[in-house]
Amino acid sequence: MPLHRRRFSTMAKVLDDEQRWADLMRLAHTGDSQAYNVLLQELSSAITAYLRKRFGYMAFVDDCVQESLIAIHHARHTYQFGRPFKPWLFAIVKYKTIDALRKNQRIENQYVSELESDVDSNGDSMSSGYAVNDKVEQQLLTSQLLSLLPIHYGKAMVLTKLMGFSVCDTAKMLDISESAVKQHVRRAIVKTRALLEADAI
Amino acid sequence: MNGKHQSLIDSLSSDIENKQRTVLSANRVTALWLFIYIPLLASLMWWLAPFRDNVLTQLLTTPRFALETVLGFLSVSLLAYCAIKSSVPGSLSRPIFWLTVSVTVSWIGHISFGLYVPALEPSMADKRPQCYFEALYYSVPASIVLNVLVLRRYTLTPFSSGLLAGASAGLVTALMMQVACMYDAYHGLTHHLIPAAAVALVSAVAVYLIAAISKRSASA
Repeated sequence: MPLHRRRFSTMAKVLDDEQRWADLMRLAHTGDSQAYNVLLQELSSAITAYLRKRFGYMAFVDDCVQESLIAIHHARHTYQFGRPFKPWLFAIVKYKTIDALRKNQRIENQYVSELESDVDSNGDSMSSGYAVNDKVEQQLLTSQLLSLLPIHYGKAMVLTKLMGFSVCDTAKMLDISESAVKQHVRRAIVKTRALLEADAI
Repeated sequence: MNGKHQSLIDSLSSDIENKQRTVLSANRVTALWLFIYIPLLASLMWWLAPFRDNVLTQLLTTPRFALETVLGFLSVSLLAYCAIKSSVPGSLSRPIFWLTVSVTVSWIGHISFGLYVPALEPSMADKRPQCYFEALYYSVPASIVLNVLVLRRYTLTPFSSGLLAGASAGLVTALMMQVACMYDAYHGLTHHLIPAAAVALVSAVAVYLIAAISKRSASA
């Protein structure tokens, strides 16, 4: 398919989604639970795709999608018919994403348990440490948003907030102090917020 | 579709009939604010103690005072509009927000500039004896009304929304005091604008706490 035609069909799909979601929300407001179910399913896929493109394939993304769906449910009465649906939707998604990153408790993540099981079976913590570092590098390179963060901020945030390592473990892995890790994470979140807000949806 | 969220989606969609749609838009709330609340407040203030004797003449003959009053009206209207807009996700645009901040800063800046070059000759004439407390008393109910409207929506930035609502409620009383009470820039800042700032701050903290508590109870 020629490039201009492909662009046109993408644009048509975007407009199509916008209109369909607004229509489904209109039906949901009249009490149509079937339409609302379809809407939430479509939004779930759209939010997952949006977050995976920016943060990669992390368990964190699933948590954000879940939080976003709950927030959409609580905020659905604020959607105004006739106004674009996507700015409303993505304002909630962006807020919930930053909120999830800010939360103090660590997200218990598959990577930590994988690493622990590797250490248990091999008794070789160094090789597992390298494997984690490789995953961090890969994560930073492949996700659209994380690649825009300064490398040391990005690494600290991926390890603590997305992979679930403690500040102490992260400090050891990056060979910096714990307070430096905390500072890097804080700055990474501020930068992430700015990048998400600048992202025109 | 991500199958992991199917059970959540099913439970959310079974809970669909509980919520009513908000009727009042930001435009309507601002219109009510301007055309119902401000005249009501002015009438109440007039009934309790008359306005400054020559205020109409001052408005018509002193362009700087007229400009200051117009900036005040614009400021309180825009603040109310922004407060309501900020309680709907993705609704408040940056240009409108910065326009509101600019107009409000210009108004307060204009009053402060009056410390050096007064817009009107400073005078103690027609001073309202309890203007400081009046400014507080009138602002509180207005602030509560605006905050209820904000909290009935879904604010993502409760502190800012509360601050905007409180600032609008506080400054509308300060604006009325500027035309009802004695005119002196220093008196205006200390007795009319400081209560407005206090109401704005308390309102911001209150909305923030209420939103945090309701968020916690919703997630529990």
